[in-house]
Amino acid sequence: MSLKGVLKRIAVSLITVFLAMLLTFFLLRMTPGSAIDTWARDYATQRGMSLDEAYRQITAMINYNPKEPLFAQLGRYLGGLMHGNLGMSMIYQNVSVNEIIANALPWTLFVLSVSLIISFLIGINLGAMMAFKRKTILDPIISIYAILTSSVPNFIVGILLLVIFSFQFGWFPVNGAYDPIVDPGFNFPFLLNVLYHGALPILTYVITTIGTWALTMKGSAVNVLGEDYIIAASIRGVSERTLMNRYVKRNAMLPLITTLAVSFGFMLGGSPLIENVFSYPGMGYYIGQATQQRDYTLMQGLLLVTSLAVILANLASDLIYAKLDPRVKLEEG
Amino acid sequence: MLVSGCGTSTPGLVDRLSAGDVQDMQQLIPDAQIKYNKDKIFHVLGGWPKPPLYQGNPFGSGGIGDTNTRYMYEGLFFFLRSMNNVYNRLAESSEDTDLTTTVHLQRNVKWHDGEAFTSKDVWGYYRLNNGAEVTKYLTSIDTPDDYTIVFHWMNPAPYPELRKLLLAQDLQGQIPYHIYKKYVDKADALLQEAKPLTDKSKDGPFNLDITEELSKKIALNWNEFTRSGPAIPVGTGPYKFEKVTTTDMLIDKFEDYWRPDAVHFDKIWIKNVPELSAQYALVKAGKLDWYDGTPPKDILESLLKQNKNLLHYRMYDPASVGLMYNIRNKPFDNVKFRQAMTYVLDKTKLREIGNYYGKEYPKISMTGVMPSSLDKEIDASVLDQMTDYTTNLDKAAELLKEIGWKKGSDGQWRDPDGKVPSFIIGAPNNWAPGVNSAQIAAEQFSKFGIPTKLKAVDSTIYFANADKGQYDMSMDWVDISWGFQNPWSSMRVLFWQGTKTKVGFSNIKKKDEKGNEIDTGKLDLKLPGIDGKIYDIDKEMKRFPYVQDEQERRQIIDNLAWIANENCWGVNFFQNATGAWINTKMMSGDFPMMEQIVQYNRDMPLATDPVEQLAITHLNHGFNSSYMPEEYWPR
Repeated sequence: MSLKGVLKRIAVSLITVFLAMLLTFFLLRMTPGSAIDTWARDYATQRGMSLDEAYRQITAMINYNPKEPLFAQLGRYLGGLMHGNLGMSMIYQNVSVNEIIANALPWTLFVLSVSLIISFLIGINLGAMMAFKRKTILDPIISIYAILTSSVPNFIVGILLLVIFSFQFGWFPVNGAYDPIVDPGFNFPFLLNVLYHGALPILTYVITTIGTWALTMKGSAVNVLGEDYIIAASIRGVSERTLMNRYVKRNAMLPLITTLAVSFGFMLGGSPLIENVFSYPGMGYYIGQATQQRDYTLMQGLLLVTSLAVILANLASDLIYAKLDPRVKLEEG
Repeated sequence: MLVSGCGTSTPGLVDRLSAGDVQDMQQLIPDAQIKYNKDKIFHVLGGWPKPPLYQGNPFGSGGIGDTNTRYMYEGLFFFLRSMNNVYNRLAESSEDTDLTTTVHLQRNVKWHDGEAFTSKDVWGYYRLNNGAEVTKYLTSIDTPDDYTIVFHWMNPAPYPELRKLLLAQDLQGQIPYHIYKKYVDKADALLQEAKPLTDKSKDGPFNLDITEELSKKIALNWNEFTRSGPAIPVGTGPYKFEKVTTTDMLIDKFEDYWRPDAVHFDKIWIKNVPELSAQYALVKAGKLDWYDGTPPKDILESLLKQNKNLLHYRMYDPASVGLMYNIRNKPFDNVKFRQAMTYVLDKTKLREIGNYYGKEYPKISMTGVMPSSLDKEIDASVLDQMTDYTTNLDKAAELLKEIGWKKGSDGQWRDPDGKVPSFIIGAPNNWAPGVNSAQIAAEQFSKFGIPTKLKAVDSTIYFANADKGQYDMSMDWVDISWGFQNPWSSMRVLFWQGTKTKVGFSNIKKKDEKGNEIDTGKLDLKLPGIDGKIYDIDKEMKRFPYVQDEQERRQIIDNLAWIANENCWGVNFFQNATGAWINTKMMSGDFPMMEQIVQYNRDMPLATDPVEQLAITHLNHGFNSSYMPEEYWPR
């Protein structure tokens, strides 16, 4: 892997980040509604004043100018970004977007990474077994499962799990990341409580992604099984277990590394649906809340970080894949 | 995990009552005898800005949430929504003269941080929060000593009952002077810069003329105040903040509360569960001890069947579901067309779909008065003179023909230009009573020959669109009193607030120094009253609070209600019925209609006895309005 190739990949990623940022900025402002419409309505009711008066007071209160030209807003936003400042929430004026993201991101990363690791590990093992035992009942069972779970939206699966395990049986909490009776910190009761609350969101991701991993792995493993070195190893008397674990799985896994990064991006993008089902306080949850309130600064900050994560994951997969597989070279031209 | 258990493992309420086992229900139980709610926790639902957005200033943008506000903060007085009964709270007593109201404070009230609550806190509350409605009627506030506050009213002053209601709207124990001194003193200094108001057409706090420049300085100070304050709320209420997560909040009994004997629960556990189906699941599982609202009939019956400890009370909501015609659009600017449309509607069907337990009032269009109180608030002779809008398709056809409409052979009505209309009813998509009843209304209009479609719009943009007049007809609460139950309160919604903007009443325009036309935001509506004279509605509304004679006030309301009904700016589909759920496994108390619980198998009908009605209002809006009824305790 040459330095030039790496730099080219990084440059493309930076351009993508910039375009994503611009797109987010303009698209959000094209959506109907305003941050202060609903607020003004409630305020007028509470204070016994006219809607016009409420609108005027709130506009002054939050120092918001709905008539500020779009490019002036963009200039202000870009100026802040240069200093790593994503701005203040429009609704919650005393909290910066950076603070909100710092609170939300760890929860999303926790759920996504745990579920990704679990589903990846189970999926590739199932896939390898399917490849080895193509004539058994295992293959069609897992194939049907994979088709079913990949065709049902993951938030529907989340709702089903919630109804069954939280509402019907009461085995898991209805929502949230932890109970208020535990003290947040690096202590056993808190960690246990976090795992308990994260169980259903994680299970939702695992159930809906495991089949896809298995099918992808099966396809890759079947290709590897046809390679000469596998046949040679088999003739040499290498045991089936060793053949599967050390010869097939290791090589068949390589193409899945790229998919892993792409999947992370997809899961992150879909997190608003899952996290809102479980009121899980991650990035997706706040994206949902900010969208409802038309809190532009919060929305654009959250979406920028989400885009950044996806782009970084893709960049990382490109670089790692080139490192793992010596046959792959990053193009320099 | 919630500590409350499932409600089906113990004898149900009806079994207990039938067996005469009511000893633990109608009295405070000694701690040792508490069977189920040993931790003495009261479980309810609520909402708040999620950490890290949560902060301790209730006026901070985004607030701190409703439920915890109710239990952590108090006002001088307290009233239940939908009622005019005012009770003393932080006020020990009060007395009125012609132009003053003197309030004597409870002596042993402390803020949650241990500081004493004094008259300076109340003074500071209004100097800083000078946009509060009552300040428009005051000239000044004096604090002769730490425990006395004198409110000086403008001359003429609002009539005495209204003065107390205006004061009771506010939670004066929300701005501790010792915490917010800097902002209170700055606001006071700015107000002192203002000159007395001479232009009677203008409003101003403390009768002051707030210039544009001063207004900006006051807003800036307010803005800085809303960004400041403690990390957690500091009130004087019976519960103080303990902990908050995104989905749960714990508030603890305040040990130094001035009425310790009135607080029976040690802790309130507030759950934030926005999904309605999830809320019902929690009610069914007995994980909420009190729940506000009456679900659709089938869900209500299913919940009661599945948890035998649940008890449900119904009551009228001081709010109606209704449709407003957009008079900015033709042909809705024609009163005869609006009346014709109103005659088409069958309100019984609208109510059955919208809120089965609600009540329709077929005769009226929209009066600005809560329908269930029409008989009480409006003179019988005026009611008799109101146009009766009971469904009458012949009358609708007759009115349409009068304004040049014709019905074609295809059954569709055509306007005078021969065009078949196509109308839209807008409704917020997450408001089931509104969306469901609007769908039926659209079908009824279409069946009559006026093609109409429902447009259920995302609620985050619906109201702004409706206020701008984007729909021919819009759905919202109508004839509603958000605060005290006084017809002037609901008339304000009609002529000054939400109904005004959806109907599209015009505002008075004037020219600025540069000759540009500007909107004053003040209502420009002059119409004939019941006596045939022309009335300026805005002036009548502004006059009302100062009219000391009750009979004259009644005449103003009679006239405005008659004008509203005749002009038919909208249709009151039905008055909403709401309710309260009690989990009698975890909570006992002197429940209303106790003798009838077995007879109705816990699904209590609307109370007819005024004492029971009051008790149910306490049970419902009491738990919902900064007040923990004392007659309920852990079981």
